[in-house]
Order: sequence, then structure tokens, then C-alpha cells
Amino acid sequence: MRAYYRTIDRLRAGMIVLNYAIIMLYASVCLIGTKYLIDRQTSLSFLTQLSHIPKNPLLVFIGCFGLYALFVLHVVKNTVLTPFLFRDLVMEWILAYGIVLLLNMATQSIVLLVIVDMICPRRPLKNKEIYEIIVFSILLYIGSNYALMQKFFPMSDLRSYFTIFSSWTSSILLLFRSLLEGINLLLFIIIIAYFLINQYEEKESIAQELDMVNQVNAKLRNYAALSEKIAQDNERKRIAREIHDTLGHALTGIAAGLDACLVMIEKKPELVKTQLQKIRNVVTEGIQDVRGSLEKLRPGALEEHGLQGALQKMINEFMAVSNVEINLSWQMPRIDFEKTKEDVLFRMIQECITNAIRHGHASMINIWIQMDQNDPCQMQVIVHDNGKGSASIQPGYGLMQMKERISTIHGTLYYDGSDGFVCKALIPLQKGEFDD
Amino acid sequence: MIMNKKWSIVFWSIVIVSLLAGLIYWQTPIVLRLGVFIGGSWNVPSASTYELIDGIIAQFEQDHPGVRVQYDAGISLNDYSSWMSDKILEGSCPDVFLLIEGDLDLYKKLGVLKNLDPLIDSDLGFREIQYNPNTLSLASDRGHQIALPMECNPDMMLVNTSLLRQEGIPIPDESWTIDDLYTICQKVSRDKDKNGVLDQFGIYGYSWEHAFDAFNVEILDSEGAFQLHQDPFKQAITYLKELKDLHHGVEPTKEDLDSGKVAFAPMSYAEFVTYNPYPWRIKRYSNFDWQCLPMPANSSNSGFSGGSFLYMGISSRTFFSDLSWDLLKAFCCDTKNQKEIVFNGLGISPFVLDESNGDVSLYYEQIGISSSLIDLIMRKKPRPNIEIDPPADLILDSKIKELIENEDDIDLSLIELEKELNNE
Repeated sequence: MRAYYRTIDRLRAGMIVLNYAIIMLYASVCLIGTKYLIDRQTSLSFLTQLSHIPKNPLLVFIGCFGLYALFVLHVVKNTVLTPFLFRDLVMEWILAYGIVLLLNMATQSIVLLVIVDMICPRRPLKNKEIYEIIVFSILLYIGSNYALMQKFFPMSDLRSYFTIFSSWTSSILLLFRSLLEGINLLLFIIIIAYFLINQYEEKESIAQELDMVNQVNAKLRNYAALSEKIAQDNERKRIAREIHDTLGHALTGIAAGLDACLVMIEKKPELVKTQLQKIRNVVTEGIQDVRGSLEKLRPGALEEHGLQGALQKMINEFMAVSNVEINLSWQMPRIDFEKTKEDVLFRMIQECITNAIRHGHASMINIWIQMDQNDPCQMQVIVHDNGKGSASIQPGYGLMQMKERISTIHGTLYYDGSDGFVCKALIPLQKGEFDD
Repeated sequence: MIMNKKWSIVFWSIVIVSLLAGLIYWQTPIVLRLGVFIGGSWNVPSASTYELIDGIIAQFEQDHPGVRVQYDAGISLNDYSSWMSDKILEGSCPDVFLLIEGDLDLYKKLGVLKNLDPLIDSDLGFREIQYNPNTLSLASDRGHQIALPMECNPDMMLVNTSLLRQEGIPIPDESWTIDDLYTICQKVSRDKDKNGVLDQFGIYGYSWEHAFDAFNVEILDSEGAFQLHQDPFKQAITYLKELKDLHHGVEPTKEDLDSGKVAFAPMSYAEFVTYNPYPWRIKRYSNFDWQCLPMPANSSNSGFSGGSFLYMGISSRTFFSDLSWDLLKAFCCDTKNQKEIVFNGLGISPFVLDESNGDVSLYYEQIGISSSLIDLIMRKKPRPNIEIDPPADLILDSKIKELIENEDDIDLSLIELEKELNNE
């Protein structure tokens, strides 16, 4: 891409130099020609060839030089790195048209330069801008066409000054003029062609990349579906195993014990009592086993790393898949949380992060988990994001759920959307949870 | 941001420089440039033009403090067109300048002249009615007044009254026609000393332009193409042939005229006045009595009035249109200055002669021209402007002379000539 801009800039620099030569050629021929005509006393017969009173040639010369100097100053500051501004373009139009008017529209070469600047901008244009540029280009081109404008605004033809000298000088001047204008036109065509080819290539490569992304996307979707299926199967197997190992075991024991009771109830009723006592123990054990199994279904990370580790793992996962920066500040004494409390806190933080990304479009999320300074038996969890927040919050399903969960562990939830979005939960701690 | 700062510096420095320039410009007196030529407006010697112009300028500068009027002295009529075209090419056209008829069409085409209509409309002191309408109409372009007439120099007919009296021919009155002219010429053209060569002539210097005026010939149509195959044109050529035949192949000379052997001679007003300066009235033509008549036409009061007009206009590029307008008015509208022009013998004022300028009528009477004659001439339609670019004008002149000489079929020659000229 840089190579492209460099080439365009070089060609454009060539056009800028050429235009200086062309414009000053016209202005000087007009100035010198006037002097020549007056010296040769042929001004009257030349005047009869003109269609309108000519401008002051000295004014044309100085004006062209001054305006072109301003034009160059203005044009060269637009390099590859400067942003494209419509204001700059309008300024360029005004300066270029001033020169065109001074030269009585004898040459349109500078218009070509302006058109190059209009259609090869440094950033992709919006549709509206493209239309404006097309309309302005056409207007500028028509508005600087001598043959056309001469009918409405009579003016003298500067080109006739080229033929007043001796035939040798005149033909050299004409040749020189055609050469300069020809090269200028050629440069214009090359730039436009280069621009179009580049546009085409860019479009082509974008199409290819899109194609590739689509293919990868499809693969990823298949893989996700597959891994979900596998995870489901594994989970089913685990649940089946748990049921088999715990409930199945207990229920089988209970059934066997009850069978023994049925046999013994007639003959030795006192033994049934002890037998029932045993069955009750099995049931209690079973209940405990079931509770154990349910606990095993909690988030795996929580089970393996504890709350802090699980949070850090989740944060890392979020940061890996999105552009958001998440900071976790954990300032808690060593503590052994109740498992339900861990669950609720983990789910709350997860929900807050999801909301910040999904609804707030935040780029930075800070999480504080610390003891409450005012109440040593209470901890606070604060999740603050820099997203767009919300002036008036209408609690949705997520927030309601969060609030209910927090209340099951006797906590309270506060939130505020005026500066990003803040969620603050205050949760009381029990004595037993402090790990001495 | 840095760029913006730089640009604002550039912008403000430009603004400050232009303000300073404006201030300096404001301090200096306004200079109006005047384009005039000197030494006789009509190719006849005249000494008093500088004094007249300087007088008008002095009065103008007195009325407009802070304004100075400059002009280049020493430009003769012959150099004037070329001098003006130099100035136009250089872009330094004078603000107010004299205009000779030959340049009018070119200046119209180039847009050199400012449209005076807005100035006329906003000037309550300007009275169009004081001008002879014909003099204004020639200096207009597509209905806009682009110049004002300053002086006129119409053609007149000098009549040798001594010769006519001697031949017993009554002097024709001002409503005479070309038939009267022919009849008198026929009577006076004769060989008095009987040596076989004609020695008394009817008319000297009667050109085809004069005949065209008499027959209302317009050789260009509205699109500017030549139209020669027309009855008035043929009548004029025939008339010229007949007039010429009266002299039996002998051409009268200037000496014949001076020595009183020619009955009629067309002459411009300026020529007439120059040879007859008021108040000394030293007669060049001292050996005969003479008077002036209007140029005859094919019926009384018809025909064009030939001669030339001198106009003054304002440059379309002037920065001071109001001041220029005032200066233009000093030359063309000021009654006192207009009288000066007449009294200096430069030409006839384009103003209508009425009671208000009795001294002008008196002046005319004193130089031997009745004011009714002036009035009659000025009321005639002016000769249509036939500005023809070279070489068509030379071809036209020589071909018409050829037509008068030749005995060929005039219709056929005319068609050929028309074709030739239109293809030029």
C-alpha cells in the first residue's frame, strides 16, 4: 500500500512541476508577445483577431505566479500521512480556478491535477463524498473549458499569442506547449490507470480474505458443535456413573435391607428395628453421596483452583477472545468460602463481565474483591467497566437473577450506570469461614 | 495544528499587506487617464485643441478635488488607433478616450467600451433629448449606449454661386435632389474656349460613397453579408456613370476647383471651416462666391448623411466609472464646452440647435452656413457603418470604380462581385 502511495505521489509531483511550466509558458508568452506586438506596431491587426479585450499581461503573469505558489504550498502539504479533508480540496479548487480564469481558460492542465487529487484520496470515501467529487470534477472541467464558456463569458484566447512571432519561433513555442500538455495528460492517464488497477486488486484481495475467513468460520462452527456434543456425552456418562455409584448403590442396599425386614418381621420383629436403623444409615449416606455428586457438577475450575484461581482463569479466557482489558484486585485474608457463596460470586462476576462487553461495549473492566472497611464481618465485590453505561436502568433477567442469587447468601446488590456501569455486592461472612 | 497555524500566518500576512496597499493607494490622488489625439480631428490642421482639452481638464480637476487627469500628448489621428490598441493589449486602456468611427466596431466586438446605460439612468442631469437622436444611435451596441458623440463632421456640398449666376442658373434651395444636380451639371459642363477640350465642369470629387448616400444604399445586410444585387445600388452606379459621361472623359482637377471652373464639390464641414476661419474669413476660394448646400438625395429629405463622428467612451476596465462618467460629460454634455468645440472649428456639436444656443447658430451664420442647413443635415439618418476588414474594402473600392468605367452588363458583374466579396 505504501508503495502505491509513493508511486502516486511521484507522478503527482511530476504533474505539479509540469503545470508550473505550462502555466508560466502561457503567462510569459502573453507578456512577451504583447511587448513584441507593440514593438512591431502590429497590435491593431492582432487586436482584430481577438474576440474580447485581453487582460493586463503583467497582472496575468504576476497573478499566475502568485496563485501557483500558493497552490503548490497548499498541495504539497497533502502527503500520504495527512488526512483527507474536504476543506483542503475546496481551497485547491479555488486556487486552481483562479489560475484558469487569469489564463482565460487557455489551458485545462491544472484541472487534471485537481481531479487527480480529488479521486485518489488517502482514505476510503463515503458514497455521498464520491458523488460530490464526481459532480465537482465535471463542473470544474466544464467551467474551465474555453470553447464552452466563451459563449457565455466572452474572453480573449491566449493561444493566439503563440502564433504572432516569426514562424520558426512560433512553431517551436507551439511544439513546446503541445509537448508539455501532452506529457501532463499522459501522467494524468497513468495515475488514473494505476489508481483503478490498485482499486481492483484491493477488491480482489479483500474478496479472497473474506472467502478464507468464511471457510475457517465454518470449520470452527463444526468443531464447536462436535466438542459440545462430546462434552454433553461426557457429562451424561459422569451423571450416569454418579447415579450408579451413589443412588444405585444406596437404593440396592435399601432394597436388600427391606427384603431382610420383610422376612424377619414375622419371626424376629426386634431385629427389624436394628435392620431399619441400618437402612436409615444407608439412606443418610445416600443423601450425602447425592449431595457430593451434585457438588461435583459445579464449575470445574472452581473445584480445582478455588474462587481466585477460577476468576483469574475466566478473566484470561475473556481477554483471549475479546479486546477488553480486565483487572482483578484481590485483597482478602485467607478465607475458606462456603461453596454456595463461591458459586454465587463466580456467577455474578461472570454475568457482570458478559454484560459489560455485550451491552456496554467496554474496553476496560476493573474488579475489586476486598473486605469492607466499615464492617469487618462483610466483604465487598465491585465490578466497574468504562462502557457506555445506562442513565436509567431497567433490570433485565440477568440483573434480577443476580439480585436473587446474592440474596440467597444474605447479601445486597447495588448498581449504577451513570459513569460506565458499576455493580457492587456486599456479602456478610460467617466466623467459620475465616481460615486461621 | 502546526499546519493550520502556518496557514493562518500566511493568510493574515496577505490580509495585512493588502490593507496596507489599500491605505497607500487611498492616500495617493486618483488619476484618470484620458485618451485623445491632437492636431485636428479630421486630418485638417488645427492648433487650438490642446488649449481646449487643457481648459476642460482644469475645470474638471477644480470640480473634483483629489482627482487628476492625465493624457499622452502628441498622438496624431493617424497613430491614434494603433496607440489605443497598444494600450488595450497592455491592459492599460485609458479610462476615458476618444473614439474614431473606424474603431467602433472592433471595440464593440472586444467589449472595450463600458455600457453607459446604468450611468445614464442614475444621472438625473443627463438629458438624452438635447442630442440629435441619430448621433446617439450609432454609438449603441445591442440597444445599450456605449459612447457619447462629441463632435460631428458631416459632408456638405460647396456650390460655386458665381459660376451658376454666370450661366443664368438659379441657385438650388436646401431641398434639392440629385436630378437637380444632374441637370445643372449637364448645363455647365462645356467647352468655353472651343478648343475641343472641356474646360468648365459640373462636379469635382463626387465619390461612390456620396452616390450611395443619395440612393440609400446599404451594401451589408443585417448579418453582415454583402448584398450588391439591389435596385438602389444599380441606380447609384448608373447615376455615377451618367455624371461621369457629362465630362466626356476629362477629369476636373483641384486646380480647376480652386480657379472657379467647377460648379459643385462635396466637402466636409471641418475642411470647409478650416479654409474659412472665423472671424477672419480669409477666403481660399477668393475668385468666386460660394455657399453650402446639403448633399442632394434622390428625393428631398431622404438619403443618408455622410461624414464622420467623433465619440468618447469609457473603458470597461475602469476602476472609477462615476468619475469617468463626469469627465465624459465634461466633454460631451457640458453646453459651454460643446460651444467651445464649435467655436474652435473642430466640428458640429451633436446637440440639437434651439433657442438656448443662439450663439452657436450665430457662429454658423458667420461662417456662411445657415443653421437650418446644419439642422437638416443632423436630422438625416447617418450613413450605415460599413466597417469592412481588409482586403474586402480595397476590392470593393476598386471593383466599384471598375463598374463605373466598364460598359458591361451591370447585373452580371454585380452577382459576380457579390459572390467574390462574400467569399473573402
